[in-house]
Amino acid sequence: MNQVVRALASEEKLLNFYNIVLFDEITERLEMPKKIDLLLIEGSTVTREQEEVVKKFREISDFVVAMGTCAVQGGVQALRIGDDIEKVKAYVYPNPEHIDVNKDVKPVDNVISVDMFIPGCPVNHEAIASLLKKFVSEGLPIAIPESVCSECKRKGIVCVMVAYGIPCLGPITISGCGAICPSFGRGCYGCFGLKDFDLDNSKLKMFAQQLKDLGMDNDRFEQTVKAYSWKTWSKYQNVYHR
Amino acid sequence: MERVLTRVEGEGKVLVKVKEGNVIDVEIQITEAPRFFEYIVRGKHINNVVEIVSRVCGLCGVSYMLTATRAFEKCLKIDVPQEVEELRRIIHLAERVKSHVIHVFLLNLPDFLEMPNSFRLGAVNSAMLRNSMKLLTLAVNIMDILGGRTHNVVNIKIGGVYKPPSESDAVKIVKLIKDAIELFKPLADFVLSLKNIPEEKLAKPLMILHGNGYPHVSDEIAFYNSENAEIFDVQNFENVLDVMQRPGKTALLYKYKGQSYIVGPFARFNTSYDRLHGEARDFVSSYGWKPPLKDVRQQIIARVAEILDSLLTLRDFFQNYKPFEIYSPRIEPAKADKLRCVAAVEAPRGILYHRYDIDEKLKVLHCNIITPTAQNILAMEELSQEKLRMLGRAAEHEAAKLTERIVRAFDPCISCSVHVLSSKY
Repeated sequence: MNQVVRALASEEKLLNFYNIVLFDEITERLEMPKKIDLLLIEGSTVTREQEEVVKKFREISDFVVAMGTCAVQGGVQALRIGDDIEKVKAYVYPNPEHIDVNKDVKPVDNVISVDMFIPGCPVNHEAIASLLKKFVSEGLPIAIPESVCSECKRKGIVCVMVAYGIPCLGPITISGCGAICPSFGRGCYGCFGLKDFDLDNSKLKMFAQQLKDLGMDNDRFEQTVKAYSWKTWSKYQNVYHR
Repeated sequence: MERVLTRVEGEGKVLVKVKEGNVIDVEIQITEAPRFFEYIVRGKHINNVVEIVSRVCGLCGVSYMLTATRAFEKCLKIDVPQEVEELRRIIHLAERVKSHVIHVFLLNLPDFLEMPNSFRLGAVNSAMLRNSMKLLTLAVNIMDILGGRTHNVVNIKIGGVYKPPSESDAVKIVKLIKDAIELFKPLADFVLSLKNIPEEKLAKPLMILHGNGYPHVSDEIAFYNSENAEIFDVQNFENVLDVMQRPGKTALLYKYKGQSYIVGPFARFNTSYDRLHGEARDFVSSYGWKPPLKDVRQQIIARVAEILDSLLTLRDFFQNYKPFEIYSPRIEPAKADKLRCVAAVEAPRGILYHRYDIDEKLKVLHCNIITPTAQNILAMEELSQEKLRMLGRAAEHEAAKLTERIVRAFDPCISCSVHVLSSKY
């Protein structure tokens, strides 16, 4: 909610162009139209009911955006994937039989077709504002595939890994945040998700070794990557040894 | 009758059971799917846990990070220098401002104006909409400088912060705060002058974190009912609460000595008004608002007071601010094979409690989180029932709407109240 509201707040005129028909966190439910021009979906799906809702809205929507790391990659809740769901439920709930949750955590494009992905945990409000502005003039923001490193270089932020030996996931993480963590003197922890380009098994394996040499063991590396990059990481998960 | 809860964080419903025209039961249902945070932090290193729990809430991630870091620092006996601790409290207050601004102007205000959302304000009072959006932008800009971004901030870690603000950051913040206070006062004037804020007697006993200043960060908890106050250590929190579960339902409900109670701005304002910043007190009281607020639907007044109190505290802090050296204590392996780590902070919505059991490798064995909304749910339901019973048959058609307004006055966070489901271990 924060980032969408912030995007709307950033440009006074934006509200003139959009009629917000469904956004429970901000408005009471108004009459539902038969067609939606722009649908922003937050979150991953974990129940059959959620999958049905998403499918229903896909049918009536022209353009669908998966917004945020949960929608794009699965999100931190994907950390439970691979564990017995009955055990997971029983750990948290005294009456696990009442909990209807799927074994998997599905990013949105595992359920429906998605027209655009905006990663980030949270998404950058400027990316949302850019989309909202360009969409009304029948355009779209141009995605530039690069890593967080490019943002550090452009901003003149000293490389925390090279200069201070701090483990940083920037080289393998998709750009878009503005290199926030390195600008605070800490390593990136990959909350915008793994790059799904220019990366392969051998590169990832070499990189995991680099991080290990700097003190981030494979276990912590795996936990960190799985938490924010389930979908992309699952393609690479055999690259290093536990 | 059933009504989807809107203008709250997360997905929930209110269910009102009516029999022969009379309300017989009110229930708040949580429809948001669980994310199993207590489970997923198990086996994770405490540094990763601080980042993960920040994701529980889309509005108060700093509260989660601060509670977790304080819990780990206490059990591992990591000293945090006073100036660093103070800075973290300031980051946390900046979040209180942001969260309350969203609630007051975007979520709660439409209730008093009979509007479906705040954007409709533009049609009748465009300056009001424009300025409240500007105020929100100023609040998040302050958070950007202090925390790196508005939520899931990156500048809090076990042992302190990553980077204290520079001198030029402080200058920028002082300017932002000055602008925010200027913008806020006319907006607050509008809220404090509203004529239709209910003034019935609709309240419950109160619970706050008990300390020297206005409730914020402390290791003691105070419970107030009409007769007296009881103070206990946060370490005993789980022992003094009665946890109830309704048959066939997943939500856990909390009571203290058999009574439901209220946490959050209403509790803080009514118990600790004298500790608000003097200017905030003067401002609010000039409109005739003083403690005790009698009706939970007056919480908007407490939030207005807290926004100003926090902005003034931030202003005072940064006017005298001097940057300090980064302090990075080493986090040594634990000296025992099992340590209990407990802390609580006053999140925007009230007392947030975390308990982690960790092993000697600093990985979490067990976790329990008790959120403000989980504690408030029973009070929300009982107060709604009380109100609807008073109205009797007259309430029949409006029951769900009336309930929703009482519930919304609490600014419930459904995303976090999925955590009403605590670990049974």
